[in-house]
Amino acid sequence: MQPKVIGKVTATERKPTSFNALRFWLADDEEIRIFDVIRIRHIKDSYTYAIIKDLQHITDSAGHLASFVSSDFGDVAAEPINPRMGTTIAEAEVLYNSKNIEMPVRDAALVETADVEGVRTALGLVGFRRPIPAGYISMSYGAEVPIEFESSYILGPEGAHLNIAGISGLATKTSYAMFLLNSIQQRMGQDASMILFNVKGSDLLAIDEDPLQPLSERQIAEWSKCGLEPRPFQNVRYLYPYAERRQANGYSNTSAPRQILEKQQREGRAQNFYYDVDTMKEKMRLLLADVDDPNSTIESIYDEVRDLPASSWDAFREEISRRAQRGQQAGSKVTVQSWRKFNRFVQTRTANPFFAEMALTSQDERRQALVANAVRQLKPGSILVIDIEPLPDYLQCLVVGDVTSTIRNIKLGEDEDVDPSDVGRVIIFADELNKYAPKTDSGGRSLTSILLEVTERGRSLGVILLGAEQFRSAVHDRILGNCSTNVYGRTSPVEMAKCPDYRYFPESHRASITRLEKGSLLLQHAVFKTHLIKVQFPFPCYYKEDVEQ
Amino acid sequence: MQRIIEVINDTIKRPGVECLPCDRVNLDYDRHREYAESEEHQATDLFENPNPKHSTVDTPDIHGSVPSIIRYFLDGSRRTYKIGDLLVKGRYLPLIAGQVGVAVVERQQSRRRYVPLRDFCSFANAIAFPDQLASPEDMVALGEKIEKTTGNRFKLLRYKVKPDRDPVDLGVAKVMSFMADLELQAVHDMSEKQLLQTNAMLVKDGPLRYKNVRGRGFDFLQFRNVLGVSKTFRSSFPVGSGRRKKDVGAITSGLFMGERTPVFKTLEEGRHIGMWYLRLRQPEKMSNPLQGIIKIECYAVDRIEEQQGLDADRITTISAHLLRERNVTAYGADKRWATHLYPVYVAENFIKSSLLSDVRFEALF
Repeated sequence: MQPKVIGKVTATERKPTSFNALRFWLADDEEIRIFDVIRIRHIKDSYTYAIIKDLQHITDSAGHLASFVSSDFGDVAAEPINPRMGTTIAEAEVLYNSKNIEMPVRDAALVETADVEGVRTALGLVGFRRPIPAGYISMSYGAEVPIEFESSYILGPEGAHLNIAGISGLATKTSYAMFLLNSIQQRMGQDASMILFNVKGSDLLAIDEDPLQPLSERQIAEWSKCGLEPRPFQNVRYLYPYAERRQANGYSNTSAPRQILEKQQREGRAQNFYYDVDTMKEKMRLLLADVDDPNSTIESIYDEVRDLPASSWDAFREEISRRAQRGQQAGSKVTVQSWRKFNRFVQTRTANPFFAEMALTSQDERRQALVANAVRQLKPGSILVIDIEPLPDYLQCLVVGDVTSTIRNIKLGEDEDVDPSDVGRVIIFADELNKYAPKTDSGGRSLTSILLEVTERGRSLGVILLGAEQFRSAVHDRILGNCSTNVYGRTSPVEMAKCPDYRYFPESHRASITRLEKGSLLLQHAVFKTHLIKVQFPFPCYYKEDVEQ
Repeated sequence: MQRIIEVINDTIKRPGVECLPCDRVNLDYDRHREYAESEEHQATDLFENPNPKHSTVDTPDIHGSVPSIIRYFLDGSRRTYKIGDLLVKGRYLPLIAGQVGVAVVERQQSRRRYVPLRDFCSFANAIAFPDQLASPEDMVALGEKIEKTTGNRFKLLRYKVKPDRDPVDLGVAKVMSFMADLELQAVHDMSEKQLLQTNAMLVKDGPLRYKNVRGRGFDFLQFRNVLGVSKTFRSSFPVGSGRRKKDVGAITSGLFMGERTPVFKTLEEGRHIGMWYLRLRQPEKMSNPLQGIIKIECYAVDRIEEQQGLDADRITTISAHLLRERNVTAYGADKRWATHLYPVYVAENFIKSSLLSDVRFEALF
């Protein structure tokens, strides 16, 4: 595409150009958008590239009253024969100069549409060692520029973790996360394994199946623009909550489509997770992760629970009930009141059928697996999808905490059964991150502590958290602070007012976030030479019910 | 770079003659007086064919879809400065400099924009010397020296010193006369290229009062499609004769929006000019009875018109199209907004944005 002159720089006494910013007027018949990249002819035959931050139309009208007067003093039917003189002024942030000149661009310098290679250089997208496609920029003048992340800033060791925030249903958080994971699988191959938690219907329960309706040519072209193949995920295993009694879905408590589940079971890619008593004695903190315990009364019970003689769930619950009775705390330092509180939680929170023992019969049908064991089987290049959608919040926290701590232990070499190098880099995708690491938690919750440790040490350990949530303001600051890449989907103005992270965005960018269309997101990546880039990404390419094409 | 005053002193080396610096003053303190105070001839007779039956004539509405017959707008603008004093033959006379610009803009109605017609736009710098300083030949030599030394081209003018007139006014008038020459040249050039048509008329800002037109070889027929529209006029100017003689202010203050006066005849260098007044805006919205009224002038270009007056239908049509020019306005940006036709305002701004700043221009001296 040949560069086309679209305007000229304007430097005035009040609004001069600087090494960092410039303004230009736009020719009447040209159209540009916020986040477009343009180039300006500068001294020494160089080009300065800049990204549009704001657009304003100005006229020579001295005020609103002049407009009123110009319509015959408020006659709405008046049709002025003289158009008022006006122009669109674009404000742009300087990104780069082709000859590394940092002088401000000059008044009346020509502004042109930019070339793709120039845009990529200007945005800092060249020289990546292992680029991971992250979408593409669609300029208003027709140019399409593929955007990549540098893998060492997503998967470590330079930086790690990615967070996606935005309104449910409109921000396309999950779709983008899945695109990015697909991109990582296609580009990083055997270097990374992934654990995905399914929290919405059957969204992620058939990610290795072809879409219900084949992608259109346009949708396929979107994948090509990113340099990727439109294909579902590969090498995926699924873990469903165990149902003690046989149901239509076998022993799986899930909303996965029946034919899909049967296929996964046939191919040996589906298991049902459960927690036996011995496992849970060790993980009791995770079960009560959301319970306020200001005086650490329950905390002191965990050690005693570990030594309880019960080896079945019935026996365990009976033993706890017994201790909750007056005069039954012989040898215990814990008061009866604390046991009673603990008893109430245990009775209610272990009622789910996946708190079960290993079955002695029909083991092939039941496909039981401990979560930790399933995680230990993870191999580089493989994906484990864990369905926690049917579970209440506190059980979701249990599973997420169990998985994360298991990975952490493996990576720290504290798991005797697995060599850390066998797992490769592990990406954990957790939607609704605010549930697991809420902002209000000062760090005392066991699950928050695990996630904090993962995000703070993850880039060197090779554990990557890919989190998503509706409200950034509801997520723990230190988790967000450790993310080297942030993605912003459509967000409400109320959330932007509440969350300090948005405070430093330019006004125009804040306005832009509130009206981002589906399939468009703003990216912030450590390597980019600008704060935010607006990208589009391809339509998901895996089986999903109720998809609007 | 050598300053122009130094160049003048270096060039004109005569005993008793010296160019002296002064506090430089921008002389445009009353930018509109050229119209308000212009000297006009008597306008005693009606000059319309047929003469209207009443003292006011209504202007019909024109539907918005009808293309305007007015396409071009011409404006001249100048900035004048007293940049020095000349000690010559015992007199202490001002040296007046000016930046002059003339612009023609075309309204491209289909594209809703204005385009300056650069072939007909001109910008020039001028210095007006008292005629006692040097001969015209000396002026040419001095002009060349200034250009060679400073890199700036100046048109050197001579103003005639008169005992009863302020020499500053005389110098300024010389610069304005130079501007009028440039305006006239623009009209001539446009006409040469046959751009001016009955459906593509030119509105010139200000009265149609050019001196020595005939002597320059210009044909008045070129002014057939040129209208002079003045934003202000002298309200005490008398029109009519006998018992019907009245001041313009008395006639126009009673006009309603869209009404015009009959056409009056006036003469300039023996040429017949028809002039009439049109109210562009609702009087009740104006701050004084004469606000919102424009004066329009049009040459009578052939013998029939000179004898019988301007065609009434044509005057009414022109008035109707000029009435449409009332919106949009420069309200709030220019005190003359009520009568300042917007495309003329655009042309004026185009000129002003092309001139050097006062500081930079004065620094040349």
